[in-house]
Parts: sequence; C-alpha cells; structure tokens
Amino acid sequence: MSSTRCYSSRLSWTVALIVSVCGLFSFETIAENLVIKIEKGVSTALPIAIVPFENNTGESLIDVAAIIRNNLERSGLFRSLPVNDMPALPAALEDVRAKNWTSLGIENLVIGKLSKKNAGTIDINFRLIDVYSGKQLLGYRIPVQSDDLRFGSHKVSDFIYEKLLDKPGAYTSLLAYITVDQDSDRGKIYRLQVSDSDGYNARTILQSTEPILSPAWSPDGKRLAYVSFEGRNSAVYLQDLATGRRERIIHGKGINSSPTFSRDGEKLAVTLSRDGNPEIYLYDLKVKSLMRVTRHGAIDTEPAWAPDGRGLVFTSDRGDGPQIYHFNLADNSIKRITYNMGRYNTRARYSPDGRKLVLVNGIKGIYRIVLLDLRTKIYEAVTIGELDESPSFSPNGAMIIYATVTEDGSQLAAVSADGFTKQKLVAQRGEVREPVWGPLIR
Amino acid sequence: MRQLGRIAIIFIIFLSGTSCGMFSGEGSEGVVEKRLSPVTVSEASVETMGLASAREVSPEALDGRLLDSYNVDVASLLDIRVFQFAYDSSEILEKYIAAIEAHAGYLIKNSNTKLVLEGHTDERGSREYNLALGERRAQSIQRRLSLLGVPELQVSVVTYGEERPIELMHNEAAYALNRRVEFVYR
Repeated sequence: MSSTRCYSSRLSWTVALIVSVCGLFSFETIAENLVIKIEKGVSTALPIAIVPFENNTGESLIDVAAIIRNNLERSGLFRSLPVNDMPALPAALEDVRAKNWTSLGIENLVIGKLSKKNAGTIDINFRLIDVYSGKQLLGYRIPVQSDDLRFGSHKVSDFIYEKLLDKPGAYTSLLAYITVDQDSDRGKIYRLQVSDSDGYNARTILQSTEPILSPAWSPDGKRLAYVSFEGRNSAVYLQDLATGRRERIIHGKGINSSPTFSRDGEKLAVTLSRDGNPEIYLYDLKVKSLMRVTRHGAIDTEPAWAPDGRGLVFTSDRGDGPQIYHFNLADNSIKRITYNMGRYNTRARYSPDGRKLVLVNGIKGIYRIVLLDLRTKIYEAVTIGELDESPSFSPNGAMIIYATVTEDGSQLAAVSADGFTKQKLVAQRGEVREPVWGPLIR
Repeated sequence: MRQLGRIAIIFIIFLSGTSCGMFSGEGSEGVVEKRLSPVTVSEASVETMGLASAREVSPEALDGRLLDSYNVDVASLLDIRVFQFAYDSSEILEKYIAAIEAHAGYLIKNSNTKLVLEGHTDERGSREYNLALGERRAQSIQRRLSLLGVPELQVSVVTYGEERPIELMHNEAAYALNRRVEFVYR
C-alpha cells in the first residue's frame, strides 16, 4: 500500500488544517492502515468468483479484484473463490466458459479490465455474470483518477453487493475514529483519523496532545463534529473534511460533549453541564442557538437521533443505574427503553431502519455490545469481549463497528448485524477507539 | 451538630498554626488568624468559629476517626491530592473527609489560591457517560468544600472521564486508582 495514494484528489484531502489553536501542532497526514482480520465466518455465504482484472494501462497498479474480494468476504455474506482455484482468468465476456464455473458451484462471476484513457485517468470496466443463466447482471465503465483506484474498487464492490443482495453496499463510505499513541517527547498524541471502510487509506485530520473524543458524521459525509480538550476543557468542534477548516461551535463552563447530527444535518444534539448538571440540548447550526431538552438532576447524556427525526434516545441514571431513555420531540414525553437488562445500559445508537438499538450493556464487570429489538424487546449480545464500547452501525445496517480491548490495547472490531461474522480491525500502532461509520456516498 | 464539631476541630488545627511548607506565602500563626477573619464566611464556618471556644471538649465526645485526624499533621493531609471513588459512585469516601477539610481550611486561609478539581473514571462502560460521572465526582467534592466555607469562585471543576487514566492495566486494582478526583492548585 503506497502512502502516496492517501492523497485522493477526488475528495481533495488537502489536510490544510488551521493550526492556530494551542495544544495542536504540525500534522502527519499519513497514518498507518488498519488491517482487517476475519475471525469467524458462516458457510451459508454466497459463492462468487472475482477474476483478477486485466491491466491494460502498462503501469503497475493495485489489485482491484483483491480489494473487491476482501470487501465482499468481510460482510460474511459472500465466499469468494481463491485465484489459485480458478479454472481460467477471463477478462472479456466471450472468454467466459460457464461450465468451468458452475462445476465449482460458482453462481456469480466478476470479470474486468483496467485501461488508460488519458494521463491521470483510469477506466474500470467490469461485468457481473450469472453463470447459470449466462446473463450479464451488471456492466459498467467507471472512470477514476489514477491515484483513486482504491475508491473505484469500493464502488465496484457497492454495485455487486447491491445487485446480489438488493441492499445498498457501504464500501465507499468512510470510517472515522480516534487513535492514541505514546510519544516519547510529547506524551500522549491523540489523532482523529478517517479511513476507507476497509481500514485502508487512513488520514489524520486532527492531532492534539489533549484528548479528542466522540466523532460524529454529518449526514452528507462532508463534516465531522467532535470533542476536543485542547482548551483545557471539553468543547465541541465542527470540521470540514475537504478543507480542514474547523470551528469551535460550543464551549463554556462544564461539559460540552457528545455531539450527534440530526438527519437533516441542521441540528446537533449535545450534552452540556453549563447549568450544573449534564443535560441534553439541541444546537441549531444555522441560527447558532441552544434549546434545552432534558431537565433532571441525574446524568443525561449520549443523545442519538431516531432516523425519522421525531425523537432521541439518551443515557440517564435517573432510575436504576445508567439506562436508555427515549425523548419524544413532539410532546416532550420521556420513556424508559431498557428494562430487565441489568443495571448498566449506555451509548445507544439506532439501526438505520429505526427498528433496533445497539448499545453497551454491562453485567458483572463484563461490557458487551447488545442489539435490542424495539418492538419485541428481545435483546442479544453480539460481541464476546469484556470491555467493548462505542458501537456504530454501517449506513446500510449490515455491520456494527465497535471498540474492544485486546492484548494490544483498544482496537476496532466489526460484527455483522446478525452477530455471525466477527472481524478485528488491527491498527499497526497505538490504541484505536470510537469508530463511527460515515453515511453512504451516492 | 456533630458534623460541625468535626469542622471545628480541623479549624482549630489550622489556627494553632500548622503551616504548610509546599505552598508559598505562608505567614506566621497570628497572620493566619488575621487573614481568616475577613474571609466571607458561610453559615457553616460561622458555626465553626463559634465552636472553637469549645476547646475543652472532652475526648470521649469524639469518635476514633476524629481522634486520628486530630493527631494528623495538616501538611500531610494537604499532601493528599488524589481522592478515589467506588464504582459508578460519586460519594466521598469516609477516609478522605479529614483531608478535604484540611484543603478547605487551606483555601479559606489563602483566598487568592485557585483549585481545579479534575474528575476521572475507570475505562469501563461508555466514554460520554464517564465524562458525566467524572464531573459528578468533582462536583461532589466541590460541594463539600463549599459547605466547609470555601468561596465558590475559588474552586472550579473539569472532567476528563476515562480519557486520562493513571494506571493502564485492565484490572480492578487499576480501575480503583483511575476512579478519582485530582486536586490541582493554580
């Protein structure tokens, strides 16, 4: 993986951050990639063969087919044929011999070519073929900047995923997360990073000697809100990804934390303790005004919007330890959500369809990620760690990414929403925490 | 009333001139008393001053803990800067009460000194809830200091939640050390 690819011109990652605030210093724009290891898969996965793409550019390029293969396998829903087991390596429709593949139990075949139109642009041509019927299910030419072939590979993965599973793929969406390194001179270094959905192409967008936490994506995927302690207290910042320009939007006495965007992107739900106690507020990004939502002497924090925008869930210890509550924005009513699930339930997030909550459940010192069905009230642990935290759904609802403590410290892991396929995303150095999956890029 | 009695004892220790070497600008015993008088006193410390005349109180009236703290050098009580807490709790542990009273006395005596209470938690559970819990711990000490007569403007609170552990291991001993409020004098 060449580091030069980290400068993707399409997304204009100029990383020209304004380094005017104390506590910050010059940035390394290139970060270590995350390596994703699949820990457990299911055998009912859909068999597929992705033939290495024919490279007609005359240049040495990354292995597009391998990226697609890894992407699809990571969902736990596909099983791809190893290249060594392939009976042939066709790149054009007329070279495909269906029997070669059906005899191996392969239903779906992906072939492709890479060619150069002009300097700086590469065409990805690919076809998805149902080898039983002999029909081409998909066929596209995708022109990409030559340093952006990885993005093109994710785009192809999205096409295949959506065609075969009838659900949007989330491969072109991005991850944001926090890393912490120990620097011998400066102590701890906190970084806010953004990577591709497979953990590659990691870019640092903020670096500080003071803690950074709670990154949150805007619904258009163009901005990140987060909390930084660079001013010796928590404050909420909003940063534009393309330009790196940022603004301290909420600060003041006490806690200024836990931002999440409303679906229309116009409001942030936040936790502020300026009135002496942590309460949920809504911050209107246009008018720049605050509206208080909760009024209770207990801790109220970790607001998250329902996908329909009509309510919020939040964590409060007003009852029996920290539990999840729902706030109805139409009539201001508050209802407890978590019952009979132990005395520690925190950090809930909705599934994109609004039917489930993913949250952190603590029982007898074991903290796991739990999925709660809001209609049936049935819940199940989907992780097996002892200190799991910060779950976040992929934007298509298929995966949950979270942080888990391993021998290497805090690392990222992902689990399919059915709990069957687990994988670790291992950073090559430091701790990694608080992953948040960005929105689908259309 | 018993609470006030304890406060009284601590103030007596102060007034009897135990000065604290680690802070600058300590005056003589007499100066200390002079400084104390103009401080805006709250109801609690008014009671305290009143009770100071009850120096003759028989030792039998005091419980063991008070006897212990009576004998403790205030300077060493002021050395206690890290106050631990139980899991998911912001209740001040009994063993720290004397030390908090000593810090209160010091702050009242040195009205220009500012104290920042940094609230921390262990790493378990969610970060944002822990941020709130850290604040609640610091506020619980802030409230106690205020009840002891420390002017509110002298003490501020900041929470770091679980972001700044002092012990990095993932076990109960480490968690206990990390669940804390740190006193940072400015």
